[in-house]
Amino acid sequence: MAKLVLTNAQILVNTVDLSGFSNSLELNYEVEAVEVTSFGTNRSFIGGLQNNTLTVEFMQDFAATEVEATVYPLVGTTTTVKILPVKGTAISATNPEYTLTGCYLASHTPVAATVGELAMTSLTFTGGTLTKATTAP
Amino acid sequence: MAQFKVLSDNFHLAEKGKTVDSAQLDGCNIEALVDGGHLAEVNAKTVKSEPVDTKEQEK
Repeated sequence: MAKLVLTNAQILVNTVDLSGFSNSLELNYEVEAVEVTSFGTNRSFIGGLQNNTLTVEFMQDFAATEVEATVYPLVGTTTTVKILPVKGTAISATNPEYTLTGCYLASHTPVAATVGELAMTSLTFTGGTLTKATTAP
Repeated sequence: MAQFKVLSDNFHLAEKGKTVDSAQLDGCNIEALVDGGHLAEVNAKTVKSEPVDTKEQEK
């Protein structure tokens, strides 16, 4: 077992490889806690709905088929996003692929930066169903 | 089943120039992929104009 420094993650947004435009991602897998506390017990919970979020920072690129062309049509819709910790390495138990299916993209900032800064857009995909694969399909 | 030609280099499912069908795109937002220039529908229905009957016109 080895500790991982994230240097070459793969990010597929709607099956488009935008890894080369990103420098930050955070996938949060959450299952809501539903309280089932009854008289005579302490606080008790069972798992409810998945409430996932994926936040990815992209360096903006207006060239054909790059960031803007891929992201802009997705706003207000659902899609699938896949994350692989180490790009170019087979899916395995030590390099699992996470697939967030049916996630919603509410907003996108096509132009955002102060003078002299790199134009970035921060996307947050919410909802959907998260699955983890440890073998290639 | 609709088929789509891959137009971009960064579409991960198939190489540029190859064809994919809608079943392979399950879970994807196909409309966004077309809008983004990644895919183009092939065998799209075209509207054919009715042939003009020239003999009828000559009468």
